[in-house]
Amino acid sequence: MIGVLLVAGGRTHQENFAPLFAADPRCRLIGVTDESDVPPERARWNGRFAGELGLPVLADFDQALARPDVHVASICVEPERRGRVAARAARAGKHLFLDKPLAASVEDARNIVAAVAQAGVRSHMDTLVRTPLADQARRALASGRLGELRAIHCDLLFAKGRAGTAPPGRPRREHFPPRSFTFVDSKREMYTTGVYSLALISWLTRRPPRRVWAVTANYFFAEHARHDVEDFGLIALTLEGGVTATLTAGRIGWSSDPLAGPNRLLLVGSRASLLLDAYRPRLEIYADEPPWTPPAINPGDPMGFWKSGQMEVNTKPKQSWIVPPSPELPTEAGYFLNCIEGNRESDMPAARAAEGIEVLMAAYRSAATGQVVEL
Amino acid sequence: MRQGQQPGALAVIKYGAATRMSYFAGLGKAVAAAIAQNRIGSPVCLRAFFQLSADHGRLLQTMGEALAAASQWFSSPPARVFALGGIAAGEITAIVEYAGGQTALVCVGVLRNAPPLSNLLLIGNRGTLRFEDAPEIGEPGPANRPLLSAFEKSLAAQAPIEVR
Repeated sequence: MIGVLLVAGGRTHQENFAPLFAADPRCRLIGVTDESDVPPERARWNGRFAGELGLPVLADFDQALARPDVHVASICVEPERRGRVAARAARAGKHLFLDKPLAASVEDARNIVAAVAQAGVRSHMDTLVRTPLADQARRALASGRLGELRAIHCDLLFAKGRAGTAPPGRPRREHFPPRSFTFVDSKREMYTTGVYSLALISWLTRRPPRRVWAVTANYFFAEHARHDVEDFGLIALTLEGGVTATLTAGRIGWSSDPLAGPNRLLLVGSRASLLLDAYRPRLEIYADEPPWTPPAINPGDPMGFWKSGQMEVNTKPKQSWIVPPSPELPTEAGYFLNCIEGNRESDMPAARAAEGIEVLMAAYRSAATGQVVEL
Repeated sequence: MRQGQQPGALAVIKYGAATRMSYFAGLGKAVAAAIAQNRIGSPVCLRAFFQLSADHGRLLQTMGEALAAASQWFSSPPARVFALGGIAAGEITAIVEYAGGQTALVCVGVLRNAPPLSNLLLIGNRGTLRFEDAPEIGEPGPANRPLLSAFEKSLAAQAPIEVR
């Protein structure tokens, strides 16, 4: 039985990860832990989450990591703490299941990679590569029918939050290095959303980026503007071999999409192109029924970042588009458990995730300077 | 959103040979009309893909026409353009920054497999406009020459170029 220690709880992606581990018959959840000096609000969310799952709060982080019945640490602490927390867990000999992005700086990311290598543990960062869209893209590239890859273009934009409140007509001025990444009401969206597409590009092409150019913007939300973090980012890359890659990432507002937000991928090859959309094929239903309306603003989670925050204001699912079920793919948690059991490397280990942090930081440098950044 | 209007529903856009208007000119006007009606708030970002012709020689012309259409949708003039890709590779990408901070990301490729692709997502600060088509393209229309010139310079320099 693989014991899983949850590092941080409610109001993090642990709300998504813990149920996946709990549902896997190979696993047992051991408890919820965190660093001892976390803010009271974080400690409260950790305790509440543990209570909901019927788990103990393991107050001493080092003792929790030292337990012999813990084999995996599922780490969802805030990005600014990820470097030291993940490295500590690796040094304690635990396999790492990591929230994205890997860390808040290149230095932190490298520390995690070094600790993983030194401890000889497995690591894996959660991404969207185990989705039907990614699977279709992988199979299309592997089949050779597109020919030689010339370009890859990704859009991933989340339809959440009340848009239209950002101060108009003020082009964003980016700063480098970025210092803070997450707030109750905003996140750096190029970082937190763009990482998915960067991981997908890396996973599909296996080509490291050589040149980075980026733009960040505050297009939609007063909350992001108030904290001086972007709600939209655009990254252009030249990958090894001259392949062009572009991505848009951000948060565009509850009512700006019939479902979760644009999520698509264009692969351009020397013989053919393929445009994939996460929501095609789909059923579209338009009927004489009340239209979907955005949820009330939850002061504790105004952007609807978290499952718990959405449930608190009774957020209704959108119903105009229905995506038929796809062939079942392993969950991220299930995939990582397979890696551990099979004693093999994940396809998204800390080392690859760290490359994504290098690209993201280069993107912030580019957005701040207006220059192309060589990697 | 208005009662009965579905998010994401494609606008019905009339364009093309019937009015002897070029493809991009017709598309440009239809989108401009939706913007003028304040359907999506202020346009802030365009993402567009066009694969309309198998002729490498038409890539730049298509890019110029697409940029001409796009530039009428934003409330400020283009300030900078960054080009990626290459004519020989059959895929070019333009990223245009406008003076007001808006961005346009336009990818034009050689048509290698049917059907043609015309796909745009125009993001406003309060909504989105989408357009999808597989058009047969006729005669070329007007291109944005200053922007196209800046694009070509950027492609050669592999660096962002100010638009004058």
